[in-house]
Amino acid sequence: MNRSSTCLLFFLFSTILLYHTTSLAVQPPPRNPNSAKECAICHFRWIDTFFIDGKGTDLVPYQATKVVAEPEMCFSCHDGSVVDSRGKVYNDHRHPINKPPPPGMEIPPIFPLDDKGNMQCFTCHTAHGVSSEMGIERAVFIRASNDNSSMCMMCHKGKEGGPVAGNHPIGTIKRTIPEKMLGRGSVEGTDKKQLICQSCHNVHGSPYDNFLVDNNRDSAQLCLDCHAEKGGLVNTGHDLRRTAAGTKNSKGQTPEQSGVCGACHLVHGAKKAALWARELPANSKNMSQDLCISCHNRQGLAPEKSLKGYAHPVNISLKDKGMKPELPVYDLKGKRVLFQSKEALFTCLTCHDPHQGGTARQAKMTPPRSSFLRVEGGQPERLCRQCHVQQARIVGSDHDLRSTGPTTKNDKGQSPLESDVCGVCHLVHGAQTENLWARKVPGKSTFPAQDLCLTCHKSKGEAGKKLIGDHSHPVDIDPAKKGIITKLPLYDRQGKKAGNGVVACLTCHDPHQWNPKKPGDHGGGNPEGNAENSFLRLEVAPRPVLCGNCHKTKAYVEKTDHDLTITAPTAKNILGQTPVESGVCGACHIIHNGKNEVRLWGRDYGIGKGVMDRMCNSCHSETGSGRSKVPKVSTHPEKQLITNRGRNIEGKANYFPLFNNTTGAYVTVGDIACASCHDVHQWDPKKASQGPGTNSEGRVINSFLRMQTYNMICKDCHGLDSLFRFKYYHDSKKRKPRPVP
Amino acid sequence: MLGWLTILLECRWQRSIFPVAICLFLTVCVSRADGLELTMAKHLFDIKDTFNQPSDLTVAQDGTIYVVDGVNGRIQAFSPTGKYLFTIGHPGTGPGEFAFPLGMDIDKSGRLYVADSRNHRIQILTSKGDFISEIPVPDKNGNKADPTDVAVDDSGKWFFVADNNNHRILRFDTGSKKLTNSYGKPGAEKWEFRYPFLMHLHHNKDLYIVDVINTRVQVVNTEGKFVTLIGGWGVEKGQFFRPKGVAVDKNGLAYVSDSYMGVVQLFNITGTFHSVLGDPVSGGVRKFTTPVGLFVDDSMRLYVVEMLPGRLSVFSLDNAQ
Repeated sequence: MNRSSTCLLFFLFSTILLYHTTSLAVQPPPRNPNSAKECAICHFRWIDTFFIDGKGTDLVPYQATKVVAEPEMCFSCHDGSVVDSRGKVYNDHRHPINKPPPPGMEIPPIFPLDDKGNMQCFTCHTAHGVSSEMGIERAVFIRASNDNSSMCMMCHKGKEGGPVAGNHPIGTIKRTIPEKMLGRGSVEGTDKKQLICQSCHNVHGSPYDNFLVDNNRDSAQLCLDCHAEKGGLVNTGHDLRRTAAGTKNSKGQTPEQSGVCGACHLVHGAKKAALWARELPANSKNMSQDLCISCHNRQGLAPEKSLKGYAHPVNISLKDKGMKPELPVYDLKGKRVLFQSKEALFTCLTCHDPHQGGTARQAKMTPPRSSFLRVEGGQPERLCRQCHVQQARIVGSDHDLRSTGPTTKNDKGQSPLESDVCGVCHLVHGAQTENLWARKVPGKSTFPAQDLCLTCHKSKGEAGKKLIGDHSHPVDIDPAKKGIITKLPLYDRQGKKAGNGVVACLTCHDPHQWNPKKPGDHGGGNPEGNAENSFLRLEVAPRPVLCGNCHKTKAYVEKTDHDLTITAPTAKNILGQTPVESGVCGACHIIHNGKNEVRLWGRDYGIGKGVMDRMCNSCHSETGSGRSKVPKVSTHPEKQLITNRGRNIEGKANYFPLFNNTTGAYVTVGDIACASCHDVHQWDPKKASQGPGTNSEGRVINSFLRMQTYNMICKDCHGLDSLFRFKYYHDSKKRKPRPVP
Repeated sequence: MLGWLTILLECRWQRSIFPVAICLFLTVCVSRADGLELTMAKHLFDIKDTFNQPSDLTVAQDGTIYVVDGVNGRIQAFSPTGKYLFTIGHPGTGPGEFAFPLGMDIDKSGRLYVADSRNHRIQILTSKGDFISEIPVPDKNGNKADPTDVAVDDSGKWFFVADNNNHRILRFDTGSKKLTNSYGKPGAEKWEFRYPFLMHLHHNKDLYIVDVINTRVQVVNTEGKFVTLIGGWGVEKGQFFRPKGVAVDKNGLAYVSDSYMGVVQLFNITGTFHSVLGDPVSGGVRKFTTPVGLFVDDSMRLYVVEMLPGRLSVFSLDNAQ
């Protein structure tokens, strides 16, 4: 190429450049491309073409509005090409943008909204702001310090205050935020155990509802991350996804939407007690109870599990009853309190943990069965025994029907193995009687307190071999009317303990304790009982403690010659029991299954006109155990009826009882019987106590004689002639008819 | 216009430049006279699948389409007609698992090379997704590597890696897994980068590197020499606001996506603007939503990954005008 060609080429290029320069002549002066670009790299509207030229291009339309921190702009770098925020920011669930704040939410001026009043990235973020406290490597350029979620709460007011304000507590907590949550982006406050908004909410990068750090729908994993102990509820009857899938909580969410926890609890905006998410009864008086009743009522979600019949009492102070269970107690507001607290009450939640899972077997049932009892190993009796320590001694005894009556069914059709040892006799809910009896009591029963026992102890009953027979100690009698004061429990006709009640089976028997002296003796192996055990409330043998509790003066027989354990240890009563086996009283009186009605006499009658004498002569006969004490003179002329008016008041010094010869009943006119002169239970009338314990020879001042026998009875009729007559004419052979005048 | 001027100035005076210059001059004039140059692409089909912010793709010789489904931590494979075939990997750090992968490439034998970004490594897999090996990408001065894409030669003996956060391009030997070269540093000059992102290796020779914040595509060769720049800052045709993906067809035309402007522009092998991808239905510019990864196969099918909509669109360039 020669020099002229070069000149021509230069001219040509100059022409081209001139053309373009001319075409651009109307445009503004040259600009600094670098500084312009550094700003316009985000401030799209400031690109010269828009901002200065005021026009669009072939590729994009004119940009009239500010888009600097709209989501699309942010994403143009945060898509991994500069910063990778794909997972954290641009997943499905994040703090909302392109939406206005919720109605009523007051947004501080420091957080700008876009022209339409919508939230955008720049509402919280600005590239010109300050980096976050987390360090420059995690700078998020927020507009205000978010120390302990303080920036969150500038808009989200009313989320604090804890349960009193209907919110999940924030701030320092007892628990430690689990590693699992921290690994998912959960953030602690400045203190290690400080719960802040970001502990549960991950504003960017959460795939879950409400940008939670873990899924809280369905199985509510987020809640369970911390409250793992509540996870037993899943798949139980309290998992409303299974049992009430169509119902809604107070936010209108179904259990699936709210998650298994959210069906009953709301983290924000809850009813105050227990962050409750469902309707509570009006005028609630006991919150922890009402939480349960909010579903367990006839119109509630669980009408079939509502309270029917009699139920275990609630709102009672266990401390006042001397019970010391390791179970939670609550105040009326539903808050768990210390056991020693004055406000501490027994409530539903004391026995039930609504989050407790049942056994694996129960969980598989449809619908799932779990009583949510606070027990380990599925044995409810372990729960009952926490308070009812003495009653728990029933385990292993004849009344533990798991071994002695495994086919027995309670009202709910449960066998002892299903209901456990307590449940076969008592229903904590839905019982037929106030004492929570689990068995059918005859509808016409006039004395349910006794009939409770007879539901089993009857012919063809579960305890058909342990009947009381035709002649038993009377029940349904008022000891007070007989002048008896006892420490044994008395009952009203419904079976409830009553200080002014009547004698019932339970007066003498404690069905939960086989051996009153040995609580550890359960009598395992279904043994035959005796006077030491047999569920007696107090021992009958060797000492007559139980009988003596009512029959105080009769218990003076102990250690007298009438204590056959001393004087006739091998003698047997009609049940074949020796005095040691039957006890002192039982040697002569059979409380159940006796042959004789009068005085429940436990031996074969001897000879004699009246029943009272025949009882004495059972032993005081030529072949009896009292054969050495058969009086040679012991009779009084018959048909010489005696009256004892004035001497018929027991306890008085001149007491001189007369008896109906047939029934043994006390009468005021009748024949003199042995027992008229003798108190067979008291050796020395001047000593109201047990005997000396030796087989001693008696004298006129003891020998079971009544107080004034020796000097008054005879004199009433015979005056000073009494002794003479007693010595010479009590022998019937020496008597002669009175000559006819 | 500056691009044309640069080419002209680099020509030797001794050659007969005059006819060339006249030709170029007329081309420019004619383009301006006819308005915006469009390359019409016929839409064939879309693949929506269940992507979560997909970023890149590659196509095997047999037509199998592999899509990097990054947030889901996996690679999705589809038939040439877009039918789902299988999934490769899942989130994790073990062999065959991924942590937010971004870019990928394939060699002639069908082995897949995935930039497993958050795991700071390149994973090599069989065409069926079986794990073959992994090559850790080393830190730079204590800064973790951020591999965003990989470009492998046909034989699979070596490959380039874009280390986004460290503003460099690395070359590895596949067999030894060793880093053999490191190119680039932060900056705006030649061989300098501000966030190199996706790449394309053309004919085992020229490496096209999307230089995001420098708003250009930098072309270098495998000998480590600078070749040319494509595009520049702006919103005019031939300029970029957020360039993301690049692909080169068998004819040497380069396709560059701009995720913010939502367009795909075509450039001549010399780096000059060629056209904008057009929509034959509307007759105008075909607009995308956050277009990122591109691929053009030998049958002139153009594949465009749109990140936010989670979509892969396939076009035919057979009868492109």
